[in-house]
Amino acid sequence: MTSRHFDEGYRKRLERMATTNLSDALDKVGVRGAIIGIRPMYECPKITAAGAVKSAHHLGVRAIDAAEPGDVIIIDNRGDLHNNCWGEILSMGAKAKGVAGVVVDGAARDIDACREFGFPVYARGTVPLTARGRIMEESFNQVVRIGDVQVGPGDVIVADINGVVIIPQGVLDEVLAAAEEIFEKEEAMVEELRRGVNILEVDRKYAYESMLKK
Amino acid sequence: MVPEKDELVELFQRLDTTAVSDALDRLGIKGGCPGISARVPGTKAVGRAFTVRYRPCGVEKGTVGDFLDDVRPGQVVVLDNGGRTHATVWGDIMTVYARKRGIAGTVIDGVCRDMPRILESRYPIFTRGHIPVTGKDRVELDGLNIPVAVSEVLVRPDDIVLCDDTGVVVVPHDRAEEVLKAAVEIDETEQRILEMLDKGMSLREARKQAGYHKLQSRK
Repeated sequence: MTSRHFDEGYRKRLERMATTNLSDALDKVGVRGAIIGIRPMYECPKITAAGAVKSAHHLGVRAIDAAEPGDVIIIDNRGDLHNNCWGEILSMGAKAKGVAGVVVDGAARDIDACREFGFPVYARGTVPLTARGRIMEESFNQVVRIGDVQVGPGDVIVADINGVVIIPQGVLDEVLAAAEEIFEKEEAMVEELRRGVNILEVDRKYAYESMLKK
Repeated sequence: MVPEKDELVELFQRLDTTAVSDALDRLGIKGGCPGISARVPGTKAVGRAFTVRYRPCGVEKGTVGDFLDDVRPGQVVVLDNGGRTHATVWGDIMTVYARKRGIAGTVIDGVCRDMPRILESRYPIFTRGHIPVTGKDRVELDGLNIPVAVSEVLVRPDDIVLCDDTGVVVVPHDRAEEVLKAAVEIDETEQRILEMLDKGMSLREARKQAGYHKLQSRK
């Protein structure tokens, strides 16, 4: 999927959805896509993009160079919490390129600087240590794993305060339609609760527990 | 099948993982693999690495592969399953066939299954543990004979892998001769200390004479 195709057909629709709606929809469709343990490193904005760009030269610079505006850079460092693989210089380079954010299966650093200039960083944690001499980039723009979910170029990633989900491009339409249906239903439930309807009644009416059954 | 002659590997076969680990420390090379241990006590494997890497299955599921036919006798199969302990990538069929082909042993950054057959055949296999659950439809082959990681240690095809009851160490093939030289020296020094102790010398004096506390230090 091209960036343009994604922007025109999907970005707005996906931006309305929380990762929770998309995770529920993935459950309904029967595809694994929710990532456990990767969180925003500060109160950073939600990010949504198609296109997995794995980040060599110094770690990540080729990925940034290859990224298109709106892409999310995904770094597969196998959940390693001992070595940094993303920091201020890369964040600034990515921001200048229009990259929407970075999702690191591992650790990041320079979060204070990223917050200051507003580049969203999602990771498992932070470390002060440099990557230099400890880890090296293997390749970029290829199939990687993140939180033990496979993700490749063209798949979709959405990250917010609740976590991160991957939507394989082959099931994007199906997942998005299911997520929208779940979203509308939950909005209606919230509205009824706001009006003072008893939660047991709302639960029964909307069959909340069985909502994800096919 | 008989393994091809590989003099360097034969020389490493006389050593244990401990001496080689100290030699790697002395040369500033990261090579010990935390968390990987022998499933069959008393077995040992030393050989050139044949590397395999797995990744999680996607929507279209791939297979775990049939690469054992391509492994040379005497090689150690190194499976990088990303440290996963919920899905196995080695079992009885692989064990029996690896034995038949004269493969030296297996290292998994992950887990295996079919322990009765593995114990019965006394196949040298070094893993993070064992569980019954298959890796099929959970993980798929990502690459063969590529650089992989075992416990965050880089393993490249043809690196020399040593495995014994103490654990697993990886020797980069392009540094193997220096590592061997240092390991032999360390091993001989330790033997000398044991002899001195046997003759009644105090530990303090024997270690001092042999320079024990700095054996592994970078020179």
